Amino acid sequence: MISYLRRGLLQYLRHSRTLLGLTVLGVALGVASVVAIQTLNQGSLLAFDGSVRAISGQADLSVTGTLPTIPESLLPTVLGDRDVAAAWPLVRANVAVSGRPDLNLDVVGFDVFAPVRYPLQDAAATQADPFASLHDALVQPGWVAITPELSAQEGWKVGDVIRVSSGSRALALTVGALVDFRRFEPLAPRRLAVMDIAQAQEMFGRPGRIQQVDIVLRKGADAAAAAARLQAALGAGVRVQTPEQRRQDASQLLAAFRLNLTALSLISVFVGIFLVLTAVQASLVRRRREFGLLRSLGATRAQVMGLVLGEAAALGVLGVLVGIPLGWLAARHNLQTVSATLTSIYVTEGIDKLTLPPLVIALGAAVGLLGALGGALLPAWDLSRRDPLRLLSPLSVHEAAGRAAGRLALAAAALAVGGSLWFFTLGHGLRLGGFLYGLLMLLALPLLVPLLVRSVCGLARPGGFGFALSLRNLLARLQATGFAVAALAITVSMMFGITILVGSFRQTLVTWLDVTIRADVYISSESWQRTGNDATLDPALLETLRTWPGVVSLEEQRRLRVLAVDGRPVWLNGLRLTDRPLPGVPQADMAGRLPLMAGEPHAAVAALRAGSVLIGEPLARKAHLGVGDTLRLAGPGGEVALPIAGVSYDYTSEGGTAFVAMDVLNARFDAAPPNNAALFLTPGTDVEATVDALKNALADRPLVIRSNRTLRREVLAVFDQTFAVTRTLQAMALLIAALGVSVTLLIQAHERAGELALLRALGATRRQVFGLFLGEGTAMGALGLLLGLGGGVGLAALLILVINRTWFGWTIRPAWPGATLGLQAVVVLAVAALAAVYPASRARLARPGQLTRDDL
Amino acid sequence: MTDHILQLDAVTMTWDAGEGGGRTVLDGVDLALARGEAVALVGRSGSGKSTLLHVAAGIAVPTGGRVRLAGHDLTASSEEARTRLRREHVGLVFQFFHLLPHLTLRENVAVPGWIAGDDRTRTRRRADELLARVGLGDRAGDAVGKLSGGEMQRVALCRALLRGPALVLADEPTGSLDDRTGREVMDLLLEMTRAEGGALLYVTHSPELAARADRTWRLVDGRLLPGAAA
Amino acid sequence: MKRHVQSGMMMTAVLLAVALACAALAGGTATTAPKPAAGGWQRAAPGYAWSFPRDHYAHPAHRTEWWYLTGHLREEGAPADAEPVAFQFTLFRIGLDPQAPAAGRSAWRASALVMGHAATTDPEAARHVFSETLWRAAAGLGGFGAPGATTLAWCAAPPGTPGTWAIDLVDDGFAVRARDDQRGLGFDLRCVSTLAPVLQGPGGFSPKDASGQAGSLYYSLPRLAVTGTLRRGDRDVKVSGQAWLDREIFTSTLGAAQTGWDWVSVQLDDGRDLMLYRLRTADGRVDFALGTLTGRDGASRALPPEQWTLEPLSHWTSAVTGSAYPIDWRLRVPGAAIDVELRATLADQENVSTRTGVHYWEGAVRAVVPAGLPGAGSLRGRGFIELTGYGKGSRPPV
Repeated sequence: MISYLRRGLLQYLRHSRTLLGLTVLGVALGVASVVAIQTLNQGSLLAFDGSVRAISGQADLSVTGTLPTIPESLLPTVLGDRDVAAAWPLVRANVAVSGRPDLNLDVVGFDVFAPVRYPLQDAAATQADPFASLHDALVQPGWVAITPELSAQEGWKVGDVIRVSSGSRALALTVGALVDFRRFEPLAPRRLAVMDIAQAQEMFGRPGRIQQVDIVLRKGADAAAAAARLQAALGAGVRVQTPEQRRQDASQLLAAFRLNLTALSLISVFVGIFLVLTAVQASLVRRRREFGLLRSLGATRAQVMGLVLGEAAALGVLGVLVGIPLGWLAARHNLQTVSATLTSIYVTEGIDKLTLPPLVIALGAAVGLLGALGGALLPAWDLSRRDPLRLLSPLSVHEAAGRAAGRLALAAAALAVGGSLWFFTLGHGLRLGGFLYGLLMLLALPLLVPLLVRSVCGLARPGGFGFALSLRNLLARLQATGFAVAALAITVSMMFGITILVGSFRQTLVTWLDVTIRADVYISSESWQRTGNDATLDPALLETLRTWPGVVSLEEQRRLRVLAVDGRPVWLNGLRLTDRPLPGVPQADMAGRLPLMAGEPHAAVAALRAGSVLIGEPLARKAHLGVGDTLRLAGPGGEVALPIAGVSYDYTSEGGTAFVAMDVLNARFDAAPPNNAALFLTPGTDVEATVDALKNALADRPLVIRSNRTLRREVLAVFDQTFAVTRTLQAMALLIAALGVSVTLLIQAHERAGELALLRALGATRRQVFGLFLGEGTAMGALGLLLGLGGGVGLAALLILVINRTWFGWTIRPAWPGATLGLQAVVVLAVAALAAVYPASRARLARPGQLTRDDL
Repeated sequence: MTDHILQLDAVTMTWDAGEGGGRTVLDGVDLALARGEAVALVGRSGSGKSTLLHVAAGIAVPTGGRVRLAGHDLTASSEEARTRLRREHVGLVFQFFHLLPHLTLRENVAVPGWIAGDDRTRTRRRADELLARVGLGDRAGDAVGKLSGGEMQRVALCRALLRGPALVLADEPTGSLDDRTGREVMDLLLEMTRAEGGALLYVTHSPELAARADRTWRLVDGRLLPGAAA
Repeated sequence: MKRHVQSGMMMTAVLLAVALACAALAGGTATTAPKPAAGGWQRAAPGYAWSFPRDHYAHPAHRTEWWYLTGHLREEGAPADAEPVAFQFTLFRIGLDPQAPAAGRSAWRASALVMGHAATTDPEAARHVFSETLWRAAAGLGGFGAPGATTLAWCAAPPGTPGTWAIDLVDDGFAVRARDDQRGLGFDLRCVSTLAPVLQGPGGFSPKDASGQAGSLYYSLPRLAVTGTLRRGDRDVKVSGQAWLDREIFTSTLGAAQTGWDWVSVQLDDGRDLMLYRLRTADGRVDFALGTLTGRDGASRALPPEQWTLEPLSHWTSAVTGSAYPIDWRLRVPGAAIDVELRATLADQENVSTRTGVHYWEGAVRAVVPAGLPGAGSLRGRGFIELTGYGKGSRPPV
C-alpha cells in the first residue's frame, strides 16, 4: 500500500501539477499566516526578553519602583541582605535622537566598576593604555557605548557626536566605544546604549534617583525567599521581581494585542483547512473509480483511508515546507508596523530582530499537517465507507447535492443557538469566552453554505448561456463547490468584521478627539512618547509659552506610570487646571472637554480640584471600579487612596488611565515639571502661523509643537498603523479563499470535460465556455460575499460589543464604513473572478469530439 | 452546390500514430448530401463512421480534402467559425444521449438556443413544442434523472432539432436502446427531421434501420463504398 | 616600596580587571609602563613634609595609597603555646580623578575607588579566609575622611553583609572593622601605638629603583597593641595581640621589567622590627631591594641589600591558581645578628581576588632558630610575608 501510495502520489504530481501547486500553496498560506503572526507575537515578547537579558542577564532579581524611579539610597540595604552576592544600580532613560523621530536610544547608566558584564569593545584601548575607555567613560562628557548594529545602521563611529534630547533639554552624547550585546544575547535591541551611571543620572535622570537595582544571589539561595525578604526590607514603593515575573508583566501588557493577532491568523488556518478539504475532496472524486477498483481487488477500508490520508499528509508536508519560509517573509514584511505599534501604543520594546523560534516552526508544521489531515478526514471516511460497486459506477451528479442542506442548516442553527445560550449564560464570564463564541459562529457559517447555494442557485432560471447557468452549475456541483464558497464566506466574514470594527473604532476615536482635543497648540518633547515622566518641559520654557502673543491659557499635563495596589499599571495624568475663567474661550472649559460616561462634568471638575480622581473606561471595566469607589495606588510611601469622581471614555491606553490635579500628583507621588503643555489662543488667532512662529523661536529645543489639526492627524495615523497588520492577514485569507476557487474550478474543468465537450459540440464557442467558468467563479464569490456579509456583521458585533470591552475595556460605537465595505466586496468578486481565469482557460480547451460513454 | 447541405471532396483523415506512420481513418472520401435527404452510414467498428460525422460537424478537421457545410468551406475555417457553422446548421444526436443532468428536460432542449443567444421566450416555446411532439410535454419541467433511455434520447432529439438545423448528425442514436424503443426513436428522428426540412446522416449497425434511409453509405477501412439502397 | 610596587600593580590590575570585566579585553600583557603622573596627579617625591595625624588621612592629589594592617591575635584564655590567629586588613584608595567632583553633580561621581582586602588565618582550624570589596568612593558605597574626621577610609561590606569596612582614627590609635558573613570572616579591633610613625626610606620617601627618584611616601607603625573581637568559626571571640600598619602613598607605577616582589615584616621578640622587600624581574632576578631595621626605641636604619640575604627553603603550590610560592625562608642580617627561618603558620594563605583577577600569598610566619643551630626551632618572633607575581595568572599586565 505504501508503494502504491508513492506511485499514486507521483502520478498525481505528474498529472496535476497545477492543482497540486495550488493546493500546496493554499496550505502554505495557512501555515504562513500562523507562522508570521506567531513569529511577530513571539518577537514582541522576545524583544522584551532580549532587552531584559542584555541589560539584566546576570541578575536573579531586579528591584524597580511602583513609580518610575527609586531612591539610590536603598542600594546598601539590598547589598546587606544575606543572600545577595552582587547588586548594582541602573539608571535607565529613553532619549530621542534629534531629527530622527523614529529613533531613540535606550540608555542604560551602569556603574562601570560593578561586576556587571557588559560586552564593551574598547576601541580606544592601546597597548599603552588598555583601559582608556574606562577613564573616558568617567570623565569625557556624554561618553556612551552603542551597539555595533546601531553603529553600522547609522554610520556612527567612535568619536562621533549624537545629538539627543530628554524632555526639553538637548544634549550631546559622544560615541566612546561599542557594546556588543548580541555576542551574549542575540535578541538584544540595537538601540541599547550604555554609559557610566554618574553621567547618565546627570544628563537624563534626577539626583538621588535610579530606575533599577539588579541583584545576583549567592549560589543555592532561595530566590523567592530573598525576594520576599528584600521586598519587606525595602517597603511598598518598590517591587522585587525575578526576570520571569518581569517577562510575565510584559506578556500581560501585550496579551490583548497578541490574542487579536492570533485569532486573525487562526482564521487563515480555518480557511486553509477548507481549501485542503476542497482539494482532497476533488482528488478523491476524480479517483473514486481507482479506489473502487482497489477496494474490489481486496483493499480494506482502512487501507483506502490510509491511502487518502497519506496523500493528504504529503500535501501537508509540502505546504509546511513552503509555508514556513513564506510566513517568515510575511513576518519580516510586517515587522516595521508591528514594531511601531508596540513602541507607540504599548511603550515597550520594538522588535528590531526576528528569530524563528522552534516552537513556532513546530506550530506551523502542526497546523499544516493537521489541517491537511483534518481536511482529508471527512472525504476519506466518506469514501472508505462506500461499497466498491458504487465507486465503480458512473458518478451521478446529483448525488447528495443539496440533500443534506436542510440538515446542515439545522446543525448550524443548533450551533448558533447553543453557542449563544452558552455565551450569554456562562461564556461571557470567561476572558476567552468571546473568542470561543466567535469561533462557534464561524463554524456554523460553512454549514449554511448548502442551504444558501440551494436557495439562491435554485432560483436561477437559466434562459441563456449566462450567469444563471453558472449558478445552476454551482448548485449541481454543490459538494465540490461548497467548500470553496464556505472558505470565501469565512474570509469575507473576517474581512468585513475587521473592517466594520476598525471603521467603527476610528469613527469613535474621531468623535472622542473632537471632545477632548480642544486646545489650539500642543507642545511635548521628542522623547516624551517613550520616556514619559522624565521627559519634562523646562519651567522657563513654560513661561515663554504662557506669555506668547495670542496665548490666553496654558494647560500643563504630566503623565506618570504608577502601579495600583493590585499591581496593575496605571498611567496617572496630572492636570494643572486653569483657575481663572476664560471668557470667549469656551473650549478651554475643562468640564466641556470631559468625555464622561459616568459622573457629571462640572461636579467632576470640582472634585478633581479637591483631590479626587477621574478614571478611564478601560481601568473602570478591568478593575471593576465606578464613581464613588476608591482607586488605590501604590505611592512612594505606601497606599494612596483616591475617591473616583467620574469615569471617562478613554482610548489612550488599554491599561489604566487616571487623571488627578497636578498638585495631587506632585504631593503624593512624585514632583517634577510637566511633560506636555496645551495652549489656548485668543479666538481668531491663526493657529498654524502661531505654531510656525513657535517652531522658529524654539528651533534649538527638542520640542514637538503641533496644532490641533496636526495632532489629530497624527493620532489617527498611529491608529491606522496599529491595524495595518490586519490588512496583510485579510489579504492572505482572501488569497487562500481565491486559491480554493481556483482549485475547485480547475477540478471542475477536468471533471466536467464531458459536459464541456457536449456544449462545444452543440456549438458553444471556447469563449462561451470560458465565460461560463468565469461566471461560476464570480458566482462563488457572490455567494461567499452574501454569506460573509452576515458573518461579518455578526463578527463585528462580537468584536465591538464583547471582545473589545473584555480585552481592551473600551466602548466603540458601531458605524458602517460603507465605502470600504463596498470596495472590499468588489475586490472579493474581482478576486474570485480572477481566480477562475486559469481554470476557465483550461475549460475552454475542452474538445467537442471527446464525448465518451461515461460522460454526463 | 447550394442544394447540397454537406459535401466532402477527397477527405482524408490520418491519425498521427507516432513512429511507423499514421493510421488512415478516412481515405479519399467523396460524398454529397442533399438538403432534406436522409442517409444511413454503416460499417464495422473502426471503419471511420464517427470520424466522418466529426468531420461533417466541423468538430474534427480532415488532414486532406475539403468539407463544405451549407456552402461554407469548413476546412478553410477557423475553430471559431466552424463552431458557429455547427451551431447554425447542425444538430447532433449521440448514442449516449449526453443530457445535462442538473437541468430540466426543457432546459436541456433549450441549451443550443442559449448558446446561440436566441430569444429566450421563443426558445422556451420551441422546446416545449418539440417535447410535446415527442410525448414529453407534460414533463418539460422535470429533471432528466428519472427518464428512461428512450425518453432521454427523445429529449436529445428535441435538442438537436431546436434551432431547425439543416443537417442532423446522429451517431448510433439507438445504440443504447432496446429494439422496440430504438425503432420508435428512429421513427421520430426521421419523421421530425423531415418535418423540419433537415437532412439526416445517421450511423447505425442495424440493417433494418439503415433501410429506412433514402440511401446508405458503407464505410470500409476508411473508403466510402456505394452501399445497397436496401 | 614593595607595597608601592604592589600598589601600582594592584591598581593597574584592578583597573584592568574592571576593564576586562566590562570590556572583555583580551589579556593584554602590555609591556610599557603607563606614563606616571599623568592626568594631573602629584608624584611622590623626596623631601615630603610629614605631619600627623594629617598624613593618616587620604592624599587625593596622589593616585594611590593604602592602609595596610597585618597582625597576630590570641584568643582570650587560650593557652600560651597556642598559635595565634593572624589577620590582614587593607583599604586601598585608587584615584580616578585628581579633581573632586563639583558640587551638585551626581552622587555617583567618584574621584576614587575604594578597595578592601581582609583575611584571617586560623592555624588551629587550618583555615585561611579571604574577602574583598571594590566600590566607587561615592553614593554611600565608600569614601575617605578629610583631616579631622573620625574615619580615615571606609567602604560598604561585600554584598551579603550589612554595614561597612573601615579604619577610623581614634584617640589613642586606630579602630578597624571588616565583616563578610557569607565567608565567615570578621573582626572589630582597636590598635594602639606607643611609638611615633617610622618613616621608611630617607625622609619617608621609599625609592623603587636605583635612580632614587621614583618611589612612594611610606611610613609604618610596626608595633600596635591590638584588642577586640574576631570571628572564629561560628562565634565572635575576644582577642588581643600585635599588629603592623603600613601606609604608602604614590602615583607612579612599576618599571617595565619588574614583575613581582617579596616583602617581609618581622616583629622580633627582642623588640626590634624588620622590614625587607625585593623587586623581581621576569627571570626571577632581584632588580631592587631595600630594608629597614627599627630598634625597640623606635630609631630605624636602612638595610641596603648587601647587608642581608633571603633564601627560599620550600615551596607550596596552590591548588586554586597553580602558583608555586616560596613560603619558607632563611633570613640572615649578619650586621644585626639576625639569622632565622621564617616558617608559614599555614601553607595555604593565598588571597585570590575574583574582582581583580589578582592572586598573591599574604601569610603569617613564625621566625624560629634555624635547624642545626643551638635551640633550633625555638620562636624568635612573628611576621608576615607577601609574595606577588608568582604563577601565570598573577603576573600583573603592566
